[in-house]
Amino acid sequence: MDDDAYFRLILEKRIRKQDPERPLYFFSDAVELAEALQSHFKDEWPEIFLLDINLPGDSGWDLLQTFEAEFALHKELGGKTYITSSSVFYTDLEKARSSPLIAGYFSKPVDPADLGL
Amino acid sequence: MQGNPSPISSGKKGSQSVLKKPGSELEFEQLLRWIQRRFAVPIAGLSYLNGGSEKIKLAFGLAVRDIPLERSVGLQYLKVSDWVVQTDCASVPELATNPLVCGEPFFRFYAAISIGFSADGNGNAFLFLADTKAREWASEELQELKEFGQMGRVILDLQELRQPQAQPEPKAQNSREQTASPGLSTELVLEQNARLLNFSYIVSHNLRAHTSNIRAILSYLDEIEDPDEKEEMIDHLKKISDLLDDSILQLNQLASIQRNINIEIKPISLYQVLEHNAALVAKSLQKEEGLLENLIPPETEVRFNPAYLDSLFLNFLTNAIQYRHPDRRPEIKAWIQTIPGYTILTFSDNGMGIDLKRHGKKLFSMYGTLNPGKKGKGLGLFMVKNQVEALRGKIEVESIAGTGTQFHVYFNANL
Repeated sequence: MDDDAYFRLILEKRIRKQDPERPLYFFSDAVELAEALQSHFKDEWPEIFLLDINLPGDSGWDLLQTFEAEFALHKELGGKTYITSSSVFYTDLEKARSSPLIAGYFSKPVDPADLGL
Repeated sequence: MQGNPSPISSGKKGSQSVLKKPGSELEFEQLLRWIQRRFAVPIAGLSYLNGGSEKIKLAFGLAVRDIPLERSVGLQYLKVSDWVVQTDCASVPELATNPLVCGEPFFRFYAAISIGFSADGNGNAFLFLADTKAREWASEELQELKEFGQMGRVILDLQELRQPQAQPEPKAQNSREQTASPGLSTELVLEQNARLLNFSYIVSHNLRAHTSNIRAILSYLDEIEDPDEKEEMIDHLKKISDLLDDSILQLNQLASIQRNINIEIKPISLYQVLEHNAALVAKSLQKEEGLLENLIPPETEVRFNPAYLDSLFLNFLTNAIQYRHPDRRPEIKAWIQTIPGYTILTFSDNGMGIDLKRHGKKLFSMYGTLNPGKKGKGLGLFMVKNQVEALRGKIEVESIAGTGTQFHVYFNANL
């Protein structure tokens, strides 16, 4: 989930190069993501969920809270959600460290190898 | 650090801010908790010189106490450098017999970073962390320690600014200045602090967004062979470099608003400037069958900068059109009201409105775009607010989601 088109494009290309078959879903805004959560992710949560912080409208943090509350996704999100951000701002890092939902924090750019791919 | 257990590591001394009276300790408390967690140490504290002793002002994992200067672990190093790291105090001759090392609390690992001078000007205020076991220390940890030190300095600076300033003696001949609403200056200082933090956030986030994309593309370029794809990537690089350039230009513009003390100010007719800018958006307003009512008396003038006023109206107009309500024609109204010291312009629309509880903070923030899917650059209102404030005015917003939005701009009459 990232509104930066270049980030999505390059990440997709790089992952595809390693692993052409892997199902990948990209979302650029909260509305798209919420739809996916209610439809094809309903029964099977993705293995890895990358979430950007700085989004139009609600921030990644807000989204996470909303999803947790509205979709009762604590278990599904927990341990699989990684914050990806170009921010090297200290409070973002700290927030990621302290949230039980967040498995990790990647400062962009994200390398497929970082994701174990 | 392999082999040699404990070289005395420290950096060069730089310029420092002055610690007078630490005000609220809340921020430091938070900072110390972070330090404790990040370095996984049992002890973290804030320390400063107080008369003849080092006073540990605030500490976790350690009783707050006074330490005679000669027993201070960090001070001897911090007199000549900004930081010190001892991976094992017990193996450093000048520390091994220190009561804090060979006795309670049994410091073995010790690190400290200076954040400013103490009140008497001849010693340090610093953050320290310690463990009762010797510890490894990696070079990237030093970088982080320095960042923590930077945070400490920022907190100190903010606390300095929050100290109430002594009231200046009233000067009879300068009565005009005094009518400018009392209390505003502290408010402005706090807002400027918030802006500075916002600014550093932008540098951290926005500029890095571009540079990280450049890095990602360069890595990918290394991986691919196909000349067409390579060319595509080069194209992306060109576009990103333009975006980066734009961002830097915008930051420059902004910095010049905030710094410029010689902004041209002259009497301007609000009515005319609104008419002029309405003409610029006439096409898009027409397309939405919108209606603009300019209720400002044509003779009303405010003292302001012409370019800033253009930008203000253009921003309000384009926002009103872009964020119109999908079910009705946009209706825009502008009128004025005069109160002592200010001319208030109200700019009202019947658009989508804003949930201020949710988005209020983001509305005037830099790059704070509210509507997913809409391509706001998130810069307009931020600039407008900065420009209005640079000319000692202020801007307020009222809005009901689904109903519309009203902006009130206070033009300072004493400019």
